[in-house]
This record gives sequence, C-alpha cells and structure tokens, in this order.
Amino acid sequence: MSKVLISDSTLRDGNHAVRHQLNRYDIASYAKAAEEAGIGVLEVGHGNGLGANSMQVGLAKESDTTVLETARGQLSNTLLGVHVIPGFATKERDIQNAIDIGVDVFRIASHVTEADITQRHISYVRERGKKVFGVLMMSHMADVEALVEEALKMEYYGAQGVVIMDSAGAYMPSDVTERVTALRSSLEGVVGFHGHNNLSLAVANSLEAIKCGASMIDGCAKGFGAGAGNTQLEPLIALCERLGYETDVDLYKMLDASDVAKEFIDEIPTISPASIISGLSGVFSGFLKRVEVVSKEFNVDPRDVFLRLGELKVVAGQEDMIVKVAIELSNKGA
Amino acid sequence: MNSELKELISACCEKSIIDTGLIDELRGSVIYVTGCGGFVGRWLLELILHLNEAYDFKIKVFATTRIWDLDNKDLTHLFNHDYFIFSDLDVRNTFSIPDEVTKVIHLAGSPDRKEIASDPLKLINTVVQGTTNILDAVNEHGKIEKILNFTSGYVSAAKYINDDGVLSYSFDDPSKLMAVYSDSKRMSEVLANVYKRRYQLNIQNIRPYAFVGPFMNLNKVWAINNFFLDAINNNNIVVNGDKRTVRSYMFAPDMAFSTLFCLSNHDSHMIELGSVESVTLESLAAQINNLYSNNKALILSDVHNERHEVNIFMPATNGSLDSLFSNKWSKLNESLYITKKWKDINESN
Repeated sequence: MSKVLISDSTLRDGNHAVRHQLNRYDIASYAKAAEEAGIGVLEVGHGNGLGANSMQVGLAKESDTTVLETARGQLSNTLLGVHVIPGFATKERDIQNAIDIGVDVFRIASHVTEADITQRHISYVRERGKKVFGVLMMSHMADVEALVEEALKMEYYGAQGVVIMDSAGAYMPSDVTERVTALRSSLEGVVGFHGHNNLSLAVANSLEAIKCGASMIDGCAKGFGAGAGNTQLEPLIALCERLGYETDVDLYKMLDASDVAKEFIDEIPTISPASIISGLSGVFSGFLKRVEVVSKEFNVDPRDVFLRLGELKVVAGQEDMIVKVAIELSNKGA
Repeated sequence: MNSELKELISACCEKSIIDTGLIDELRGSVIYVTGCGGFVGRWLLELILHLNEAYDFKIKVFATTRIWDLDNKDLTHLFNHDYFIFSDLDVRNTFSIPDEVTKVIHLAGSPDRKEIASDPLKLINTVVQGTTNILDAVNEHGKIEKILNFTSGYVSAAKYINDDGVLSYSFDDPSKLMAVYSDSKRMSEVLANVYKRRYQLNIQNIRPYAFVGPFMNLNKVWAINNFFLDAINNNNIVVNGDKRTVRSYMFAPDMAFSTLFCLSNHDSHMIELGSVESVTLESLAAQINNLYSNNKALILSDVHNERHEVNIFMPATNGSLDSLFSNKWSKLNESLYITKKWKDINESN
C-alpha cells in the first residue's frame, strides 16, 4: 500500500483567501483539529510564507512569531511546517526564529526555473537538522527536462524532497503523469504535489500524482486557498482510503476539522470565470485586476489578454507586459 | 586542535601506516599539492605530519588551495610547522611549481553536489583548466618524478546489478546534472593520458570513491553525511532513494597512506581508490543509528521498490593496492565508530 504524507496548507495558503487575516484563535482551533485528525504536516503563516508580512505583499493579522507559537502549542504528533521564499525570509531573522520556536519542516520555494536562489536557505536548514523540502512554484512554466534539473538542484543543495506547485491550476492529469513520473525516476527523495482548482482538477491531479509516485500531497480544508482554491482535503482523504493509499488521517476527524475551518472562512473558494481563464492560460491570477483595468482602457477582451500573456509565459513581476499585449490585441482588432 | 583530538588523529595515522618501508621513497621529498584544503588534502597533511614527527621522514609540502583560512584554529597545529608551506592558489589561473618540488598530487576539483548544481561552469573550468595548468606547470618544471591526478570513481561506468545478479554498466547522460562532474573528471584523465604520452610524464590517475573519517564535512550532501546529521540531531534517520543501493567507505587515514604509497612508487596504472567492503544504504543507516544511544527509527523510502536494478558505487578492484593492503584497512564499523568519537570530542569542546 502506498503511503502518502498529507501536508495541510489551510493556515498558510488559506491565508491568501482572507488577505492574511487569520487570527491566533483561528490558528489554535484548526491546529488542534488537524492534530486530532492525524495530519502529517500543518503549514502555517502568511500566505507568502515566513517573513512576507509587509505593506508590499499584505500585512497579516498576526506576526510570524505569534502564528508559529500558537500552532506549536497545539501540535505534538503533527509536524509544524512553514513556507519560505528566499527574499521574503532571511536565514538569521526568520528561519532561525522559526527553528527556535520549534518548526519541524521548512519548505523552501522558488519560481520553477530559479532553484538556484534556494541554496543558502536549504543548506541553512539542513545543517541545523530540520526537515527541508524544495518547492517549485508555477511548475507548469518549465518543460519536463528543466523541471527535473531544477528539482535535482534542490536535492543537491540538501532538500529531502521536492514539491511541485500547480500554482495557476493549469495542469491536466496527463501533465501531472509526465512530470511526476520524470521526477520520481530522477530524484532520490520525496516527490510532492500541490494542486490548485482553477479547472476543477485539483483532487484528480493529486490522485494522479500519487499514482505516479508522489508521496507528499498538499491540500486545504474546504479547498481554502488562493484563487479557485487548493486541493480539497476532505474528498482527497476519502478517495485515498477508497484507493488504498495510506495517509494516517482519520476521515471523520478530517471532516470535523473542515467544520472548524468553516468558522473562519468567509467565502468558500469557487471557480470564477477569471480563475478558469487563469488556469487555461497558465498565468498567475494576481494579474487579474490589472488586466481588467488595462483591457478596459484599450477596449480589448481581458480573457484574450490573459490567454496571450499565457502564450508569452509571463511571470509575476512582468506586469508591464499587460499593456504591451493589450496594445497588440487592440491593433489587431483595428 | 585539543590534546584529545590530537591523540585520536595520531592513533588513526599510526594504525594506517602498514609499513614505513613501503613509502621509504618519500623520505626527504618535496610534494606540491593542489586542492589541499579538502578532506583528502587534510588527511594527507595529518599523515605527513605524523610521518615527520614520529618517523623523521622530513617531507616538505607546498599545500595550496583556493583560499586558506589562516584563522582556522583547527589547522593551527599544521600551520606551526615550517615543512608545510601554505599558499592560496586558484588552479584556473596559470602557475608554476617551485624548483625543489619532486612530486605532485593534484586534488583540486570539488565533488560538492551544491557546487555541481549551483556553479557547474566554475566546476568544469576548475577541473579541466586546472588539470591543464598543473600538467603544463609540471612539464615546464621538468624534474617532477611522479604526479598523482585525482579524478573520481564516477569516471568509471556506473554499475547496476539486477535481481538475477547480472551486472550492467552505463555512463552518465551528458544532459544530466551529475555529468558536469563525472565528464569533467573524465576529461581530466584524458588530458593526463595525453600529457603522459606526449611529454613522457610519470602520471598516475587515481579514481577516489567514498571515504569516511574525522574531518569529514557533514554539510556536504551525501548519504553518509545525512545519516550522521540525522543521528547527531536526534532525528529519525531518513534513507532516501533505494535502500538497497550499494556503497563502500574507505577510512580516510587508509586512503591517505594508500595515496602516499602510490606517490612513492613508479607504477602509472590507473587506481580505483576505495574500500572493497560493501554496504547497503539501509545497513549503513542502521550502523550509524546503533552508534547513538538515542537510537531512533529508520525511515526507509520505498521510491525505487519497483526498480529491478540496484546501483553500486565502489571499486571493482584497487589494482596493486588490493593484494598489499585490503585486508589491513580498517573495517567500516571501526571507521564509523572513530568518526563518531571525533564528532563527540568536537561537540564537547
């Protein structure tokens, strides 16, 4: 029977959905429920991870220290995890503080083609004897060969495994098959998968990942997460049971945890038109508002803009391309 | 280095010396070593220190590395001897070898996986240009009696064994990350062989495999280091990949003595330098786990369970060394025990 480690991102990716406003009471109540359910790893913190609490990417309700100490107080068997993006998080200020508080698992993330920036952070954590995984975000933007090479770099830096994120919810199951199979045959450590639900495939893609050898799967209670939401844990756990994948999670207690999460979820994630276009185009959904404004200004269909941006493989930070694409489409229309 | 550690290292060196008569040729010699700041270089210096102090070998060493850390208190006992001349050298730049040098050991070219991943061009340049530069320097010098060119066990074809015990061999695909290292080292051997034929230089290629012992840098990402780190940090030991993978680990002082033996003789056949005592990763993890009183669980990955072939990384033979030494080298369990002891002494200070 395949064993699958469930990494619950409800209190981290879910924080995106409430503009990082989860409070210490939400965190304590859900962490307690996750512990009772037998969740493997509970990831907590600002949506963009450790050290990201800022005016630039969103001020959180609680400091990193409060969040971590609160969750730590509720967990004994469930491992406490954090998401780390080098640049937001620094080694001495943020990672060391997290180690001191008792974080067990560090997931060091970069854009899929930029694993190089994770070396120092991965090494720092490994040398201090904590579990460390690499995370490749927007993983659909690299071809399989490049994806494997970036993942191998993380393993060479000391990561015990690599999680690929379908950040735009763009994968079809066949994409997952191809990528996870390639990673499984190349890496020595764990292969993980983090799905988003833009095209309503997050659970199916997660199961496909398990079938191809992934042994760490991310998800959130009620699919609580950025954009269209993440892989919903409740059906995932149920289906794992049915398919004979061992998760160590008690389904009933997971359903109870889901009810706990409901208390702090203002709005259950849905698949909006924008989410679908974001998933289809493979473009970061954070572009949405800017695309709408620019499209109106140049009198073009924002969905066409999204799709063209997807063809150009733009990434976060290339927002200036929105205007260029709008002008291009406007000229074509004329 | 404190007295307890000095005593341990001295005892390791003494045990590795099978017979000083085997390396008599080195008495009074002057050795030039590149890449001496690494694990292999460190053990060569410790053994030569012991030979000079306990057996009056009077060996002089020009020890070069990219940048020596002169404030490193761990090296003070080496810095204090005037028969060790330390200098910074980046082998990517051209250089010359002092006139008095009679023998050369070229170690430069790190097997650090982090460097392979983060700066492959620098690594390729260090290995390929570095080998060219040392061989040019040797050729220009004109009086070097013996050169050891350290490459890697990865130069040899990777070995796999299937369920039926059938061995197969393959080389790294050049598109793979590890080819950066293995193919650079292969080119280093090619260069050495060309210089050997063209300029009649007495070069011997040495393909080192894996070593274990005091001074090993646990921050380098290799299985044995991971297991030690997990054990030291009181974690369960995680065996990533295929637990059946076969490795061997030569005790570092034995490696140093074998190296000096190669340097002292006139044989120029390639040597695969490593232990012939095989161990699976699962067994290695268990042995390290057993050394520690906390004795945690082993977490075994089953990711390659469906693969039929098991990878083997150990020398098929150490050539001429086997018949002379292999039954005298330290056993793995002893090597692991001493490595732990070294770490314990370091931690307690």
